[in-house]
Amino acid sequence: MDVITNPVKAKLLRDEVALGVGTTLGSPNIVELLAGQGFDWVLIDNQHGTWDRQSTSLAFMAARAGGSVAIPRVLSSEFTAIGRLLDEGCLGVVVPMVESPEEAEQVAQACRYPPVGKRSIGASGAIAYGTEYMSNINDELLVMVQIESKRAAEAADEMMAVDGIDGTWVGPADLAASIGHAQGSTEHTETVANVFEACRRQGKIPGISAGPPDSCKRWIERGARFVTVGADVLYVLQGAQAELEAFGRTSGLGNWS
Amino acid sequence: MISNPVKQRLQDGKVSLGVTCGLGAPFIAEVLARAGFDWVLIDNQHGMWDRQSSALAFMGVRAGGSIPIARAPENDYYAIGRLLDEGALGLIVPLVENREEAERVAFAARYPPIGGRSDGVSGAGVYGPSYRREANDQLLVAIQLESETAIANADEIMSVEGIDACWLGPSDLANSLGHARNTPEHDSAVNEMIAACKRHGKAAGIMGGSIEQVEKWVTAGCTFISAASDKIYIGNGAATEFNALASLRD
Repeated sequence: MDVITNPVKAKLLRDEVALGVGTTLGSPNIVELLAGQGFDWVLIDNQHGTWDRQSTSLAFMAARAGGSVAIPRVLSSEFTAIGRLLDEGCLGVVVPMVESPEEAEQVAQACRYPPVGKRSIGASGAIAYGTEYMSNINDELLVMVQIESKRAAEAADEMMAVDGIDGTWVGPADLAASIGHAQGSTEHTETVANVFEACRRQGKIPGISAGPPDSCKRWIERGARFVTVGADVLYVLQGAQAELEAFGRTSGLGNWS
Repeated sequence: MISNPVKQRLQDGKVSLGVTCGLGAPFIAEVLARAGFDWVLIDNQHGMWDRQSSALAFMGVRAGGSIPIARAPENDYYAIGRLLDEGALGLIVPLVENREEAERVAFAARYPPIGGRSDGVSGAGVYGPSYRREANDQLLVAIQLESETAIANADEIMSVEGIDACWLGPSDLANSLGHARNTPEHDSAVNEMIAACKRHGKAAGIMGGSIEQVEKWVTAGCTFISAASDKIYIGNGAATEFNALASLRD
């Protein structure tokens, strides 16, 4: 069995953009379709999405089937919650609401096997990666914490300095709520830009839940590399809205552009 | 653009080695695919698959880099159509006994104008917008000869256009003949199938089920052949361990 490689991490380490898409609808079939479209990675959102344990591991399989990389967002930074997602066979993880270097250190420990970390040994879906998984995954795993509060943004340098944390995927909506400035405001944009600069200083990867394409392009110009555009639920709503508009109807749920 | 290396190998006269998956776990399908088999049979006749898990198993086979082939539960137009719609790139239909039944299979599995398959896909959407155009050529359609009558009608069955291969069912054939596998009578019936396939330019095949049987029937001319199954691997693995350790309980 070949040594496993993580093409998303490889891209990011070359300072290239890794373009992802969010999924919350709980359908492995949707994940395979989006993976096959050409996204570098697919976010299996176990925080805000309707994924259970079984469908999540099937979604990891679906991303492999579609030739992409599944990266789950874990429900919380809890040790066993992180471990079980990794055991089910993903090559990266996004951890929400990390606020301090101490919390970042706990995440890093939960994600790596000893002697580097404290991850518990035993895999389920991860056996799809073959016998080299155990010796390889500490290096190939991509571990991204979410900086999405005032406190976290202020500690960005210290958090990004933690060994085993590969970068951040900023949560712009929660960050806006925390700093009291809406997305698009100068204060919000500057806060995110400062986080990206902290990443660069520490040799880590800047990323963000980047929103629609024009917004995503602006964040990439600002330095983001680990980004998502769109999501399964958004595509369904946008598709439905466009069809209704063709018949002169307005979307009952508002404008999703 | 879809491609079906199983069909290509068979058309080139090469052996295509499959394995049967019936335990209802899509992840097992991925593991079997990763082992290196050319195709994985998602057995909707004897396996414990429902509609959802079967479609996920096709995905599992794709994830493992192999080709998903479905055994249909029966020779039924709608049963065949839905397995193809869900993304199987090949089809095996059990218990085909004569030309008319083989023609029904070919009709159900090919889009017009050459067949009558109904238009509309679910899981097959992953093969992209060219699927509808390419499916008729790329799908592998096989039938099972597995009775005395079917062997007697092997020529008229295998001559049907749109039937690409036979995957003989040796157990049901043994029941029908009243002669067990590996008896001269059973071997003779299998050889008649192989000869009929050759006469009509079709791939001869059989459910091998073991290393010895695969070797025996490849030597005899079978190319569309399968080894054992998830059920047998788990059963054998468990039995081997238990037998090695059982005396410790005394």
